[in-house]
Amino acid sequence: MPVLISLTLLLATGIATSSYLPLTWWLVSGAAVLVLGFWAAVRNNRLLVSIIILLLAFLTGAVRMALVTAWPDQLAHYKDRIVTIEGTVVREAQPATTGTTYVLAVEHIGESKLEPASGRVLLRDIRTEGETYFYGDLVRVRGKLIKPQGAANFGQFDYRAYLERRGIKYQLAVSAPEDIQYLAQDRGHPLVAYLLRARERYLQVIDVLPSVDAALLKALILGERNLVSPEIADFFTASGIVHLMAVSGVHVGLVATLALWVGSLLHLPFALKSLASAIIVGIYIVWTGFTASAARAGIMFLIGLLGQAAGRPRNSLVALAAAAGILLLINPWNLYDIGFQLSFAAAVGILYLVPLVPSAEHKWQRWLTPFVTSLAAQLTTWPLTAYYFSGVSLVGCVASVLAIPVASLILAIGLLGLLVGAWYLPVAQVLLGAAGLALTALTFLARWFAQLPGAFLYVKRPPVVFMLLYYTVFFAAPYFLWSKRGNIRRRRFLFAAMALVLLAISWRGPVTPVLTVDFLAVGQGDAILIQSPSGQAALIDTGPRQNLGDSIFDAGEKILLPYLRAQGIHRLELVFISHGDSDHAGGAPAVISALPVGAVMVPATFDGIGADLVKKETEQRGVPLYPATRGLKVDLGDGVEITVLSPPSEPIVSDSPDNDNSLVLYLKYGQTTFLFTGDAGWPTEEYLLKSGFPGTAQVLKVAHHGAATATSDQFLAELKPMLAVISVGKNNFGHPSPATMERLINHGVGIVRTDQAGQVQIKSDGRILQVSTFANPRGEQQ
Amino acid sequence: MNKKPRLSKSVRELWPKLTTAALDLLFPGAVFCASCGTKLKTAERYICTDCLEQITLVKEPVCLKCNRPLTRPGYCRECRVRPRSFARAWSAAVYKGALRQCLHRFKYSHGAYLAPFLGELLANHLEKVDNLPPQLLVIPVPLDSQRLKERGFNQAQLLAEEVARLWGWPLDTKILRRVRATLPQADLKAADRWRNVEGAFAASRRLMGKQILLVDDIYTTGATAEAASQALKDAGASAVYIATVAIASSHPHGRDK
Repeated sequence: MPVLISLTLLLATGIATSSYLPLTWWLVSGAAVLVLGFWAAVRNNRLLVSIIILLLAFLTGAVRMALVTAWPDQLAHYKDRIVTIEGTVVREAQPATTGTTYVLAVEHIGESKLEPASGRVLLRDIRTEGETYFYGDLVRVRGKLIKPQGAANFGQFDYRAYLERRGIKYQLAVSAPEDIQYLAQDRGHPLVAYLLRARERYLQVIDVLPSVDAALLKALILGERNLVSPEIADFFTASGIVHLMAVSGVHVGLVATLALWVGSLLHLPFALKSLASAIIVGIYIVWTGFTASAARAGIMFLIGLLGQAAGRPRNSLVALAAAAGILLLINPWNLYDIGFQLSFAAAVGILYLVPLVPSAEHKWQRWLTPFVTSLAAQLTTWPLTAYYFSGVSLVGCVASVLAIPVASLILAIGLLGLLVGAWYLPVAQVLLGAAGLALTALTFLARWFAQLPGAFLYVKRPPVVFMLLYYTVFFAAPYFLWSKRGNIRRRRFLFAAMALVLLAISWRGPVTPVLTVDFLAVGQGDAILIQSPSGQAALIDTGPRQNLGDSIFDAGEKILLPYLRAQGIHRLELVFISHGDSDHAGGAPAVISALPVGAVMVPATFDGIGADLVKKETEQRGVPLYPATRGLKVDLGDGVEITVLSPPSEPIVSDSPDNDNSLVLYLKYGQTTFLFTGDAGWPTEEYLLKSGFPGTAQVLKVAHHGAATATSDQFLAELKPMLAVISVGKNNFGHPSPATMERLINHGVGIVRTDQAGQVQIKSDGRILQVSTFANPRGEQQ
Repeated sequence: MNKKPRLSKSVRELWPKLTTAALDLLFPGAVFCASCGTKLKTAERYICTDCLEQITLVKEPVCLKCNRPLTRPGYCRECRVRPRSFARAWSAAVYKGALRQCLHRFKYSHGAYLAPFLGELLANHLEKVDNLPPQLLVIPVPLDSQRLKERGFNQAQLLAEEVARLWGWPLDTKILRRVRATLPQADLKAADRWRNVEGAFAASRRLMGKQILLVDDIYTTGATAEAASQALKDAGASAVYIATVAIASSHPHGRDK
């Protein structure tokens, strides 16, 4: 293996293991190894020097990462306070679900008196109207400095971590016009400012196209995906060509080729031609916002030019390793960036696998090369797309073969149109019109492939062990399959068999049959997923659907579906909806429309806005909707039994009939018992105490998010729960009430809250309970 | 590669070492066969074993002047009718198949890194040559200045550097110059090639009594070799020998077949 590849791999390993030891440890060991290195160099001990250089690469990664994580947070003091910030815009406006966002480099901060500080803040501008700000503008904003929303469920996209990887630890929202003031301009780097101004001017040309085409063209040329409608983005995702919307090797390669070609036309000398194309590629990468994939391609191009100038043979894998090393040294968080991982995985696939394919002997075989290339990229990226998006496009390698030439054409005409258009618009109109036609063709391709049956497959989130094993097998395979020493056939067979068995086992994960009950963190609301050892799954409530002003938060779409897909659940036997309030029934329509559902169980008094939407959706999908009453028993396979304890056939009469006629469900698996109470209050508890329980409940889903009007002493005394789960979010009702908490504590019940611990996962083999939470994933046994 | 550059007293000595080390790190060696493009195995460099076997080395009988393979010993027709001011031309292999691909990559597709391989091929051939003078001044055929700008390097010069290094002979890359622009020989028919290069070269200083080894990549009609050798002779060289990596097996117009 070339040295540079080893060095980069060790650097990445250092970054990944950095968090296990504090910075001082890494620094001390780094210094010690350096001293040892000098000693070895003086003694001329080659072997030792080599080992030390490799060790230093590892330590560099660890120290670099530790430096980033240990960097003092100067804004921490102002967290959750109303502050005034003076800062420079370092990232221009980007459209978000609500309003636009900027990134500010903080210069001064304070509650009343401003003090100098540094750090980056995401500015969310949610004013209904007002001017936009440019790179380098100094603004003064006032608002509450808060941590961005983090993940609360296993596998959920973590927006807070995503921003922190970009050096942004806080956000501040501005809604009133007087809370944002423009102070000065041109505070940024003049070169970057100039390039961004130029970008702005060129981009305006695109607006001669209809807005749908314009958005798509911006995505293809500059990787700006925010303006593309979700529908079209979905087509691109399902057909496996969404990678075209991230600027990568295809784009940078085309820009570089065009630049070199123009250089040749002008008969420029080699040095000048190279320099010019390097500058053009550099400008292009700045325009695309310096994303990992664009930077990767750009660095590799520059290394290629350097090799040409130095008369050195090209080695793209080494160039790739160099690009990875540079990007990781600049920002070690890149290692965890999805774009970085996908881009490098695809490049490794292409550069490592394609040359292994025997070279074409017949002309027609050459036509297969693009297909082989796409397939290679697909083979190395699918575990990552499965991990992050729980889905794999099966038509991607075919669709890409057709889409890449079209996209290249669009890119070439589009770029040319932009450059010309900034000077003379009519020519640009013709060029962009042609690009528009090609865009239609590309959209048609995406749509056609996306709608093929089985184009996109939802798969469960692959276990990390599987991913490690998969990549190991991948890179070990050629050594076993192509090496010509020894008994080839036997070795090939053994390798293939072993690899397949190991991969299958690691994909499956631990095989002991367990019951899993997930209390998902959906904010203020309930959503509980039950997976029986037999593999059947059911939901109890589906989380809220809330209107947040100009956007809608649907827990079904945002939390339940991604989680179900990541778990590899493709069918729900049952969906219980305890009652019609939208914090329990809100997410149901999204779930029912996306997954096959056996039946929906509701109380007889199923009413309200949430209920109406569920009724409509079930009718449309032909899903049976059953009213359930006391005595109904459901078998979820392998001895998991769910019994309806309430409501009785005669609805309970009370002040809040909706809540008090909630479905109350009793789950039993071996010695493990759960009670799920919906929003049931005291009247229901009285009824339950009167009519009797099948037994105690080890785990109690505390009724009504911990409201004071439920969970009485008597009830707790009868049920004797060990653990109480309170599914609650930010609310104005005072949930959970201190009185309820006190009662639970008095009865010696352990309490977990989804607003504090995040998702609560309880596993049981029928005897022992294993409780883990998002905040404490390792969990404990009870 | 992971050698640490030794601490040396002057930065001037350290700097080239560092740049070489950095370049070695970034460009550790060829990965693909220069001829067929398949991935090279561990023991292979520049070109894969299959392609290496395909390279046809020049074997007797050959023309006693220009080294072109013939069916019986003697002189080829071309050397009988054309003036030949050079003493003898040597070339290592026949311009076809794998070598043709290699030379193509070398000249037109960022193949400067192939110079050690091709240079060694040529230098090794000179070992087998009869009556090789003990000391020669190595001079590359100069490249048209416009093409040098576009390509960034003169392939003949890279080869000459290798030959001079391997044989321990002196090298002079400045003395022979092009005095007028020419068209690329490869684009022309045989008859036009003579006219294209005639009088295109000149030596910039006297070469009284020197024996010269003129190095180029390919010998086709001998027009370039003749024109350059004439210029060197005019400058007073006592004998001019030609060394090329490859020789075309026939004339571009096919008369010698």
